[in-house]
Amino acid sequence: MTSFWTGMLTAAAVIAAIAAGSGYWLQRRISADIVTPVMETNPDGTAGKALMVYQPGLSDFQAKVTAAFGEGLAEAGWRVFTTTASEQAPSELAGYDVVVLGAPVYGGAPGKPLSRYIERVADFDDKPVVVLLTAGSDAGPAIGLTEQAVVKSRGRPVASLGLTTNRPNDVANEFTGSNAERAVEIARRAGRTLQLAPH
Amino acid sequence: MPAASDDRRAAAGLLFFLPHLLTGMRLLSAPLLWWLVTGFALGAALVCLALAMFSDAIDGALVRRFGVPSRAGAYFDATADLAVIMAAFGAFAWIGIYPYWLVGLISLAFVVFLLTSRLTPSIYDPVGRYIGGVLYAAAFTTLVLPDILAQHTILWTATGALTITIGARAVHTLAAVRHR
Repeated sequence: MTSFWTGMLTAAAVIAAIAAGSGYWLQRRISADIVTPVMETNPDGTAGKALMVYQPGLSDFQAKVTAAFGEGLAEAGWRVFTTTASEQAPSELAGYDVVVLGAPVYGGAPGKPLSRYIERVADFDDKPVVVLLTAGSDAGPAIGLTEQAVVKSRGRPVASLGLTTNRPNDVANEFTGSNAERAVEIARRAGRTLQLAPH
Repeated sequence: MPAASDDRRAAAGLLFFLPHLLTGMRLLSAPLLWWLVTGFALGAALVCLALAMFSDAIDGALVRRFGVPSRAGAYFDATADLAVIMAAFGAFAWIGIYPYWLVGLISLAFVVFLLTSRLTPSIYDPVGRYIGGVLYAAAFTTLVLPDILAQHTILWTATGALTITIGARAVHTLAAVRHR
């Protein structure tokens, strides 16, 4: 074997090892529950109580989008309780008026910690649920899967929002900044303007 | 047969300049790639990047076959590669797919290459010659697989490969200097 091919194979093996190691480590990270305390914002809000449960994901995109949605809710007068999807997240939902579920999309499906949380709740008791996903490209299929899981657990999806990194979020050009910054503003507005249809 | 001889000379001249023409076109494709990615025309960006990768794959072979390999030509080739790669990853950072520090790390690798290339007998070291291909593949995969997990795998693979390359380049240069 020539030195060219030896070098080429060695480089390919090193790169493949790095890629495999990275993939394995990232796969473990995205599957793991992250426990955080329930944080309350706008304790004097009178519009109702909203529980936001989300999976932070690998980047800060989901966290920023979720935080902006919560800020929008607070601006609209909601008391907002935010935590991450884990065994510690509240599964008793009787005291809340709306539940917001957020997660990044990996391989076309919502992150596993959020799916496990929905299974853990088991019965949303017909509560209105908002689905808030972030994806590389089209979040539509993952939103469909999440809504199906919510319905299966006796929840009532009332609104869904999918924001992406590889597609323009602000097609109407209503906001300024990068695509991610516009996504944050879209989420904030969605929280501020959330309307729950009478049931 | 002076006409046939002239034709052969013209063809030989064209073949001599063809690799540099391809490299020049690759260099010019860099701003186009930036514009396509930041405009979210990712399908067109994929075609543009694929053509740049194809030109990179064949221009070196054409130089060896029909031209005269030179240090200036090698620098021109590396600069065109850097321009395309920086345009791709700069645009990815601009739209929020990758962090800006990855663009900084790519720049650092090129600066290390420039600073050490005069100390080594060959322009490319055994590891550094592959990093362009790795980064091209990373950009290509980013456009083909628009998934957050794939993007993070690419990010950490590129980071690992760049770190190893910079380190290997430094070791290779030190070894070359010691053997002088």
